[in-house]
Amino acid sequence: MAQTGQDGQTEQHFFKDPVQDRLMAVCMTLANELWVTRSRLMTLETLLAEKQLVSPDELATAGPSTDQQAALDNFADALIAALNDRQASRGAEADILKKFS
Amino acid sequence: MQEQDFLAGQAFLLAMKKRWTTGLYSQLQEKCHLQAARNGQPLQLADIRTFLEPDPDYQIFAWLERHLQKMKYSGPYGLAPYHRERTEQLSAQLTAEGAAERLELADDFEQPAYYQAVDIHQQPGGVWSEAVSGLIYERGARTTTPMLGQEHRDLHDRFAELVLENVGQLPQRAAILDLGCGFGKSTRPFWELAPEAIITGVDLAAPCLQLAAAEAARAGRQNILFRQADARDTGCAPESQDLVTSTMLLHEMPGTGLRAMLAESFQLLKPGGWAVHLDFWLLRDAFDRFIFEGHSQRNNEPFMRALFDMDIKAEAEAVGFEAVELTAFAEDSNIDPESWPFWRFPWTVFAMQKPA
Repeated sequence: MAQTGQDGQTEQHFFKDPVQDRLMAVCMTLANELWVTRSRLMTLETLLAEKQLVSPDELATAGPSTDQQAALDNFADALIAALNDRQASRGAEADILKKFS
Repeated sequence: MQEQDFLAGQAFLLAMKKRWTTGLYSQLQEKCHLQAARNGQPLQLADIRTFLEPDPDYQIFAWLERHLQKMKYSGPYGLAPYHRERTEQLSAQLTAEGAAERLELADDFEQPAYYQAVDIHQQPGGVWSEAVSGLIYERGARTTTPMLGQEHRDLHDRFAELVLENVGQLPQRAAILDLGCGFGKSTRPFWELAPEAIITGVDLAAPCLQLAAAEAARAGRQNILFRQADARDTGCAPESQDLVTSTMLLHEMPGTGLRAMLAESFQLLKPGGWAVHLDFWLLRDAFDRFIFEGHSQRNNEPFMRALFDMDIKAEAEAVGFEAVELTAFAEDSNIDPESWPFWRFPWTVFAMQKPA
């Protein structure tokens, strides 16, 4: 098989900071996943309603159970926690080498 | 991956592509028009580079063009992983009763170095290196022109009709050669419109030729042969062809290769025969030039940029052709090449005749 970019060629960059190119890439990958998931969900809900396994009313009004709401709250908490700019474990202080040498 | 996930994943990418080829493209074009108005004169290419390259709208446009294409072929729902997972099952499309008689592959064919040097269109492995490469290429080509439908037929039908209407009366059993025929999408309209013609399609890529031969066999088309050969040295007999054609070949060849292809075409044609190629060349303005130089870089089509610099008319005349004409081509009846407001390839017909 011919050589491909997988052999180590750096990707083209379009933004001043190449990290922004990578952020765009992860966002677009996530958007792709979301589209696929939404598509499958729409199909599933339509089939459930057509086969009268679940009524359109039930689909429209069913809300998260207590457990499901707790899971959603945990999801939101995790998103916010990722923004808190805090270490999650004890990091070494700046003077650790001096302190213990 | 599941079939429905693949279809949904590809649909997302096409939906995104339709947006950068329309809204974002138009925004950038409008920015350049306004800048030109402020300057009181049209922008030159260097002006546009200076003006647009730091612009976030352009940066996002360029990123989308590059990366949506990359995802189309190599992403989680990409054409390559989808087809590779199904190689055994999909390879059945490459066989058909009668396909073998319509196919001539070369033993130990050596791909040209320029051809191996880049995976065109970002198709990993190129269009030649795997059993399913032709199938991947065919599937990918369905969404190359997002403003048209997903059928290959319209654009290629229009071109074949134009060619056959304008090259004068061909003999009933005309010999027609389609260079760089790929999986046969450009060849098909010729064998449909000229049912008695003797048609040869030539390409470097065996997987593409296999698909072309299988489809011709399924359609029951006689007097057609798909041969693995280089457009620069086809192996066809001198003065054997009434018509030589190609579609989207020129911009995939380096300049030296293109010159060699022109010379080969000349010597293959009967006196009075025509060579008519469809490719990308006539650019309306510096903005078009900027966009397509970028496309050349972003879409792994490095020779396109150099093609824009070539004096094709002079090159064809140097080989001996006369009546060389380059004209803009409308790929759809709704499109005016001069004023179409959205992204489209700068389709150009290159017509030339061998002296009688």
